[in-house]
Amino acid sequence: MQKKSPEIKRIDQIHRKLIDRATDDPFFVGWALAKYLQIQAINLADLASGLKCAPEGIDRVALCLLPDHKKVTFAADVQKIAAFGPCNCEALLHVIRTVMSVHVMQETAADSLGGFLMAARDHIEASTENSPISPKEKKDDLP
Amino acid sequence: MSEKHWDQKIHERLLTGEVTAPSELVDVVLPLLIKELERKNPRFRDSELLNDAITDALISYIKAPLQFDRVRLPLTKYLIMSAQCDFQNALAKEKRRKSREFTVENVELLEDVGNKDLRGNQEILGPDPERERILQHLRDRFKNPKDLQLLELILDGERATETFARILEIENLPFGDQQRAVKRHKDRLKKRLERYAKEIARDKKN
Repeated sequence: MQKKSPEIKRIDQIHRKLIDRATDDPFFVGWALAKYLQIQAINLADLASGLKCAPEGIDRVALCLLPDHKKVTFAADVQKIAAFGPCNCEALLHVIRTVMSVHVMQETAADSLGGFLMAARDHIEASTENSPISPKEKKDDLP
Repeated sequence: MSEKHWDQKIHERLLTGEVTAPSELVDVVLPLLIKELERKNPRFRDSELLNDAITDALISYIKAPLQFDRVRLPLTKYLIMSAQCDFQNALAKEKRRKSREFTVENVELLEDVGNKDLRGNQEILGPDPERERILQHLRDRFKNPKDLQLLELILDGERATETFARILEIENLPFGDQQRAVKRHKDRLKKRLERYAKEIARDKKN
């Protein structure tokens, strides 16, 4: 294997840093790829093989903007990314759709839980207010 | 495609949210940014601060391309300026943090050179302005710019052989040779520091 020059190594190093940042940010496809690895409990090599993509291609794809699944241009945007990678468009579409579905479900669940907790709190407050003996009265009754 | 034309195109594509534009931008601009930032800050090649500044400048522009005004300067120049600014801010912050640890660092250094008199001299040890005073004293004594750079690194608590090797321009030597050469230079400077400390102590006595 050909040895990389120090300049190329430096570029790789900072490129890696950028990709790491992208995996934490839902603004980038890298975030969706990282989430997919978590959801499916697979490693990067599995993902690359599923996407029919070289490791460098995965890096290129990771730094693309994550297409908005609610927009009509979604499929066309994924196609552009797949052509740019290059990688398999169907597989990439599946990855992003899976991640977005799980993400939406998680957010809905979090909202529901939040709503449930708020409703529970309101219920407790209301029942305390309507209670024949409020905490204040109870305190006042004390000798 | 000319650089100016490419600048405009990629900027417009980022503004319209074209999905592959960030990755294309990074492919083209990253090598230029690294080269230019390292040229401007040769002492900090490979440093995390420089890497972070380059990363921050790129991510920040990709996420908010409107911050760039293409009438004022070309995109690559803007990104270089932005990264350099981030780097200088981070460096200033790091220096402030180090200056808080400065007393401890100096005690360590002075213990290294076995200099009890200078260690006890509170006029020389202290926060940032005092550090500047030490450097000024050193500048008066050490006329060789490379020696001064090496001393500054020692004062900043730098220990990486590579950093010293770059200043000595011996980074192409095998690592073992670099280590030996760096140690030789450090020993030489420490001996001179010892002499200098003795002179200070003698002057104080008189």
